[in-house]
Amino acid sequence: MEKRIRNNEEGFVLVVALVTMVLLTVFGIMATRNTSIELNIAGNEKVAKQAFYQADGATEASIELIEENLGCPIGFQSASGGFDNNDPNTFFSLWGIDVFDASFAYAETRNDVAHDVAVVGTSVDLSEVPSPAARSLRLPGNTVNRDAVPVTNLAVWGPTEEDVGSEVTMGAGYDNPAGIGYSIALQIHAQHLGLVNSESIVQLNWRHKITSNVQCNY
Amino acid sequence: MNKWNREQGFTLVEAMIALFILMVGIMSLYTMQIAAIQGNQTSNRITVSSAWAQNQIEGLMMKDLKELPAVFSGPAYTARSGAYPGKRKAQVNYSDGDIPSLDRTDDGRAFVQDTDKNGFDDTGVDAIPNFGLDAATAASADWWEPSPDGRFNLYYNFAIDVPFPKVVTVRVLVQEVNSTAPPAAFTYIKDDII
Repeated sequence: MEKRIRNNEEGFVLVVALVTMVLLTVFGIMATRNTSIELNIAGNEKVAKQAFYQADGATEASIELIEENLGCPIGFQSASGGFDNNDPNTFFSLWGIDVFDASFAYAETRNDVAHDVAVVGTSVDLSEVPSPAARSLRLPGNTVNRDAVPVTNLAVWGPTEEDVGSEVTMGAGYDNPAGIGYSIALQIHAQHLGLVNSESIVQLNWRHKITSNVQCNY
Repeated sequence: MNKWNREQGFTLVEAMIALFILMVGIMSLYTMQIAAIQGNQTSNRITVSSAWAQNQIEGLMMKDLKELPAVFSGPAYTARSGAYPGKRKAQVNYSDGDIPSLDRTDDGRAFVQDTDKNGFDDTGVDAIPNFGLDAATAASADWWEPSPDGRFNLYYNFAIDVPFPKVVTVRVLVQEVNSTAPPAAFTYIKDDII
């Protein structure tokens, strides 16, 4: 009997070796898994930051375009007409920016989101603006297909408002160089669609004091 | 007694086999560990380089556009006089006539890289693609400096009037020193209003 027990212990070293191997393999797989997750985290963090700065930069470009174009009485001069329907497939290019809404930043009293960023007659869910189907501007980043990623979509709209504390007469009837009385409260929404399905949305308000000193360059 | 002695020999063989298996296994796990460490180093590089790029972009955000030319005249820039005098390659001069252009601090040459005005650098205008935004060497970038920790080189490229007049597209590329890994490239657009 004692002999048989002794015989049973013959596999002991092999068993210990195999158990050790299994343990080490488990640790190794854990380390590799950890590494691959860390790589994914680092990569995702990078593309998320990249997309954010692209979207944020697009809002700055949009502000410049608003200020350059706010004085245009009927929207973009460069538009030859027919670009006020926001058809996602119809646009004109202003250098590196594609304009879908020629009446963009048109200084008129309205707060009609559907008119400014989407196809006329369609209802727009504000939470889905901008999108490739509802946008005022596009900043393409792909030379082959202007709508393929990376691309930035911009939606700009907003009403002309009477400023708090001002009187109606202050805005009306004056050549208003001091910018008293009224301002245009624009909403600027930028959506950047980047590589590996990254997306970043930046939304901000831009208030322009109405004066007679506005530009119309485009 | 005789039989017991024979079993001692089995144990020795068994121990050697176990040792051999363990050795082979540990060697393969060793390469696994090496791969894991390298992967961790890669993710560390990606994280740190994008953090540096973010830092530089935020710093440029804070600056007024009019201050940007001052960046070009910094010590790192004046020390380098090579194939790209001034920031010539950064220029796209769309501004013909009534649209006022940015003040330029270079040698004054007008250099239009996008003659068809579609927002993309025309191939064949010069040998530098994409308005020079992707330049990530000390000789070709508009400006560069080592990161304060010395691990990375930070390259700045400015494309004036891209994608349309009076705005500047800024790209910061962060490249690890003595590394062939692709740099982290962050792009931003600055205007002269805010």
